[in-house]
Amino acid sequence: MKITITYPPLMNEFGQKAMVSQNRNVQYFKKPTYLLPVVHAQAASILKENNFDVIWDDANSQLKDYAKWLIDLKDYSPNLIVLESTTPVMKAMWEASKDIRKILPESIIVMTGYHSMRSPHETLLNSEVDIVIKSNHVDFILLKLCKKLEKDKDLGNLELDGITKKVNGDISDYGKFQLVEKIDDSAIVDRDLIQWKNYAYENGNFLRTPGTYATSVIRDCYFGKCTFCRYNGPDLTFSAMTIKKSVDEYEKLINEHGVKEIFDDSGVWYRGKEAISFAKEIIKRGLHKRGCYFGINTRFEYLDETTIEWLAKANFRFILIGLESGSNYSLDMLNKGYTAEGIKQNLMHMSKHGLHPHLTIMVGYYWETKEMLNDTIRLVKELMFKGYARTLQVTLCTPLDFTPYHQEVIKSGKILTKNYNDHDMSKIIVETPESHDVYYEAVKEIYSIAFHPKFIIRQIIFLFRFNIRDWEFLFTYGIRAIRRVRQHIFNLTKNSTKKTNPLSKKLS
Amino acid sequence: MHIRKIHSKKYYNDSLISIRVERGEIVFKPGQHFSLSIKNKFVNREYSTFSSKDSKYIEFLIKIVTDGIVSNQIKELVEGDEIFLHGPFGKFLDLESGDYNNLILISSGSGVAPFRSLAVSENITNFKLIHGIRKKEDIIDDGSFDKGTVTYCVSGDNEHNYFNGRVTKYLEETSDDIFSNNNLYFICGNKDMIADVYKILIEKHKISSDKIDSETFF
Repeated sequence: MKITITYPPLMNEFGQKAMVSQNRNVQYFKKPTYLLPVVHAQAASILKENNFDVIWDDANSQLKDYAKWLIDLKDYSPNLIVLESTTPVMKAMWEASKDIRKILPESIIVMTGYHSMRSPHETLLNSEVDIVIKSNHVDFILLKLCKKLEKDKDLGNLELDGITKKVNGDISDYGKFQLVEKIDDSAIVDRDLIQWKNYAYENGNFLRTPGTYATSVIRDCYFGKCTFCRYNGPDLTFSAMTIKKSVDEYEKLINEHGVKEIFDDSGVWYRGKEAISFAKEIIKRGLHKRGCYFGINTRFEYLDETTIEWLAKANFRFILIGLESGSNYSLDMLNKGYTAEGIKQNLMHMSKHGLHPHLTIMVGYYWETKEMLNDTIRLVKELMFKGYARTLQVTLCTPLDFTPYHQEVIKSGKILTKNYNDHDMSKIIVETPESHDVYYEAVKEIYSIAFHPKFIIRQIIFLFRFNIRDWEFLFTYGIRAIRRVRQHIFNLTKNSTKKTNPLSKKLS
Repeated sequence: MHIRKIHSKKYYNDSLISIRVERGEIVFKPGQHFSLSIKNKFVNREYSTFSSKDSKYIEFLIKIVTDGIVSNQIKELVEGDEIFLHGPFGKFLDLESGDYNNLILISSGSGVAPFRSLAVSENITNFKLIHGIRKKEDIIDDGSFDKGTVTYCVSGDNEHNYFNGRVTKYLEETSDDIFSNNNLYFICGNKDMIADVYKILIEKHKISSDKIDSETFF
């Protein structure tokens, strides 16, 4: 049985490609960022381990245009085609499924992703998709699905927990998928299969290349209650990989592939004693002295100073952390479970031990007043000027994938569009207390921190710690970040009615 | 955020304590949890409520984890010390989602907390608690579950009259009439126990996955 896990190249009116960003959020970029979809890569790997004929077909990282993608797909002629989608590219994926059907009428088309898993009927009614997988554990459920289809190809006879299928126009649902396997039972990503080098260079999170994403140690989130986040819902099951299995992979990536930076894109990585044990295991095997940096996602108030110190000793560098607001009111509304003071203290510890925190900031909540926005700007400036954080990105809060926040704005009538294409994070699509321009201006102001003398002086002061990573940061990462700031500002403010960009002179 | 003072602390054994704080204006449902942190420590962990939603106090059951960060900080607290609560969060034990004949509550260790909160909050009798512990001294026998039936599964010592073994062994071996798709199943405890119980319920006893919900304790 031939299976293709495929990502079509999708382009918007500005000639930008749909790229996934942190945690599978789709944003359109001109300059590429190729992020490995880890769970789907595990799905491909576990299918291969079970002797299925698998093709990994990411048209973005493989630099194909849409026509070439379709030609290749026809050449492969797979029995089963797996797509992944999220709200902003949902309609485009429905159209892609129709194009696939025209060239491969007999293939079974499967849709995965957080949007369709929470609204499967919609996808089945609007596309040529045959099966929607209603679980984020795509690896385990795809394996079960393929084993069943191998025995009996008739979709009409297919019954499996966690899918909704369409046969001759009739839709049947088979309840929710419940993970009974342990995440350790899934596959470590097969680097050759997914052509890992395609993802090793064009990724702004890597200071050193080639970099790669580890097989995630956590699926879903320890906390899982932040209202805007897709890792929040009764359909999700927390699971964690054992430390040994993960460190074994790190060792292999360093020894066999010469990887120089490894990032684990788990929604939230280990915390507490597991995090310390991981760091100790890295040190015990000597992997901290092999010229490879390690990076993770975490939450504020999950890592105490002792844990941070251990991570630093183990050569961890990049800490990606969501700073959704500097306003305690907003943090409460988002169910974050901590305050702005906790944010500051945690970052201070990370910076003290030489880690490079990267802040992912959001603006544009449906309740966010100017005062709350100013709290965020003030806090971010303080953190960046004091060197408590090293880099940042700003996104416009966009309701996605039927998260609680998405449902809140639908229920309250605060959402301003019914067009899923508008959920591409390029504009504010909810009713807000201030004019939308206020939030776009905030985006510009936050990004302009990168050019502020206080920030630049702080980076120079860091050089006198004579830590190689600080020198690399300034001369390598710094230049790369500046290149991307321009794109980010364009993306996030192109809907602003105020066209003057305070950075335009500096950037042109 | 709610700031509360420790009203009282109770030791059940070397590794299990409960703390009690005034509930005040806080409203929660059994099954929900709070993020707890100590003043000026800036690290938090999630703990489910252990007490009645109507009680004057909110109580949390805390397993003292070897090398655990927050649990050991909480252990050091004395009456009058401040603790920060964020929440409540979550929808575990949401009984409004459907009809059922019986509630089957399966827990290990401090995972019993939300089930006790439910048992002392709601007027329900049609439940069975299957609770895994290592030693018989770990049983919290304060009459909270008297309205239903309880099976304790003791896995770390043989000198007792309870079921000898883990909850998974009990679920594999029992002839009790507890497996039906007319029941609702709630599981709370460590992630490995939860995965094993799911496997037994779904694969051996053919319980629909729609009838099972879980909350992982770490």
